[in-house]
Amino acid sequence: MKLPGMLLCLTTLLACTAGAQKVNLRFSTWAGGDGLALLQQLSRDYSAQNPEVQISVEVTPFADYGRKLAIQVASGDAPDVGWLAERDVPTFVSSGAVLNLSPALGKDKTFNLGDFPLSTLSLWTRGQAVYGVPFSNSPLVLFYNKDLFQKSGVKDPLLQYSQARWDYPSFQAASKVIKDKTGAFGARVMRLDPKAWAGGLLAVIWSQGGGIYDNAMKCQLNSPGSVSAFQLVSTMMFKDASMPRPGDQTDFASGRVGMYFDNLSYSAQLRDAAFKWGVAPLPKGTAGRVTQLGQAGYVVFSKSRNQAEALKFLKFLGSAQTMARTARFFPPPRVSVLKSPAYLGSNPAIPASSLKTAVAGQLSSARVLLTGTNWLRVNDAITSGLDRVFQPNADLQPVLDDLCKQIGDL
Amino acid sequence: MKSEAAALLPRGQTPARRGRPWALLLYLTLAVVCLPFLLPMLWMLASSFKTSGAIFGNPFSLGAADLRLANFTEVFTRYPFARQYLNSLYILLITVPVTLLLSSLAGYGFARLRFPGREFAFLLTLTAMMVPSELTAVPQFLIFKTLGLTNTHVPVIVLQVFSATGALAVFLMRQHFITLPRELDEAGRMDGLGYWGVFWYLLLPLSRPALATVAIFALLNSWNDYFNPLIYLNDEALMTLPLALQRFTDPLGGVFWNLTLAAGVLVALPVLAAFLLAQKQFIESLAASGTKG
Repeated sequence: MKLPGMLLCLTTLLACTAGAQKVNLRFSTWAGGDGLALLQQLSRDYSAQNPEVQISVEVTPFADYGRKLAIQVASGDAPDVGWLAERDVPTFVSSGAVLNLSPALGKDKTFNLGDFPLSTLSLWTRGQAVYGVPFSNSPLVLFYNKDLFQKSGVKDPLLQYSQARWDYPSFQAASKVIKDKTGAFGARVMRLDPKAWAGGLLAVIWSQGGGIYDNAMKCQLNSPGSVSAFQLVSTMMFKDASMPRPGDQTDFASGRVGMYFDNLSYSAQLRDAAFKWGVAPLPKGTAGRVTQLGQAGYVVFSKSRNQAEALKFLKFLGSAQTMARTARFFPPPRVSVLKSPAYLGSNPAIPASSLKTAVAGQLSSARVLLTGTNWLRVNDAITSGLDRVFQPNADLQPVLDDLCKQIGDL
Repeated sequence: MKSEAAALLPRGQTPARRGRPWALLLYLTLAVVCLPFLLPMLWMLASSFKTSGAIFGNPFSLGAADLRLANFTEVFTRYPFARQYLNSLYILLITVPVTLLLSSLAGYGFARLRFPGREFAFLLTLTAMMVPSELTAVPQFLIFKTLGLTNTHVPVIVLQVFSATGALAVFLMRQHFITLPRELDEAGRMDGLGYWGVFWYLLLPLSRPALATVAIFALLNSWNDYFNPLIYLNDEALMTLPLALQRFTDPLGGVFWNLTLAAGVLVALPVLAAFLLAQKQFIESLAASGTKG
């Protein structure tokens, strides 16, 4: 056989072998328990539909997920597809570790990127480029203790919302009455972990017209809106004594707090609650009713050797059909799934009407915290700065001016 | 001696009776000093039986209603905790004896044998203690990846034996062997023992306190190793206990404290039991290495 003929045969043989070879995709997540079981089932389902693709699900604890991914990326051993937490998005996008998905998703009518409201994509978008698809879109909602509301004779927040009276003055008043009549704390807006202060307090700040950063990413914590939000919280802590002070570990699940701001996923922690509870929208501030979205998304890593297959798998995970299945654990960002009766009736602990009002109804004014790559240092500075802010009789303006100066220096 | 000491005391007072108020004061002081260490353990134990709501409600209360084992059963039924427990145990059972064997041999070599570059080799060994593991993580990972050993227990075991813990063990054993009189070696040699015989029959039997110290450090470091399993293990069924403790979270990372604390009690128990059983040996060994070294 002549040389060209041999080469042709060899090429055909190699192509056939490659075609028959299985692609092994690595999918990284921090899910555990039933959530992990569902992801493993989804991976098996995908392999059943695509026999040439095998998915291995890799698990890392949430606390060190970004740290491990960074080492894997630096070692050239990044997974193909993975979850990415909100806090890690700026770092992984700016370092080029994750793939721009817009060429693959933008024109795909079946995937329909338009089904995701713009607010849900802002964290993942840089200009026209989209670097991730959120799978969990958990807005902050107000958890309230129905028993404490009943005992203190305060109107249910959902009722006040329906009467267009659910604002921060009503929230403060309800909190004080609960404290005075039951002895329990009326409200808590910050989590137990001081470093997670933004989850809760930031929604209050946004609703008063303040923020951490303005559009030019300059510190805005000393703006009039921010100062008024800190003043409200400070008054509730020290004057009304209806809100736990920093360091006080009384949490909502104990049944000794009337109202609490947290992501919808917090409901999983109330499985054994010995009291009746409900969810409602956050109160309205002078600048509107702004809630914060807690997000996590799917990404394809730039160094994946199987990018085409990885993109197909991501499309499967982010499809409306799959999101309808994962919605039991993760509030779906797709509007079509979010408003479907199947989702609204999926949580036995929360009535469909509450879910519709507190979650689906708030997405248009919801925001994601957009940060820079130095967020960890900024967050540390704010966390320690809050010790000076939340002092009895603290003069807030100069303290917050100083905090902004510190952040500017970073 | 006893009668001389007794003669110095007032009539009718024994040494024990005279020292009683001071002893009482000493015990009280020690009890107060113990509190910061003891309270978190007691809180963990009490909370491990409670629902998540009751944990922060009244931290130290433990009524009859709180005594429920649901957290412990859930840890085993909803998560592969039993498998992860076995992983930690078998890794421990490999790393501790191997560390003891290698560190005693290396310590003997550095203390007793003369060979070119001995001091440099010893210094090189000590650098393993001085370089933070984060710095060497990427090159080490590349080596194990090339060997196809990621997502196995091999890197976890090898890095436990040859990294900072191993280096500390070699250092401790070398310092110990230096303190033993060289006349022992000479006597052994006169009786026809080689290097191995001197090590095995003469020096090693005299090294129990040092070996106990090394064993305890190796045990604690292996049981508590978080970083290496974090980097090398991807499969939940391969994880060890420090990683397993971080797995009781909701999808956005909110911690299920009731499950975490129940698992925490189960993780702490073997170490506490080992310490209680071997505390005399442990304290003696630390004292011995401190005075002789």
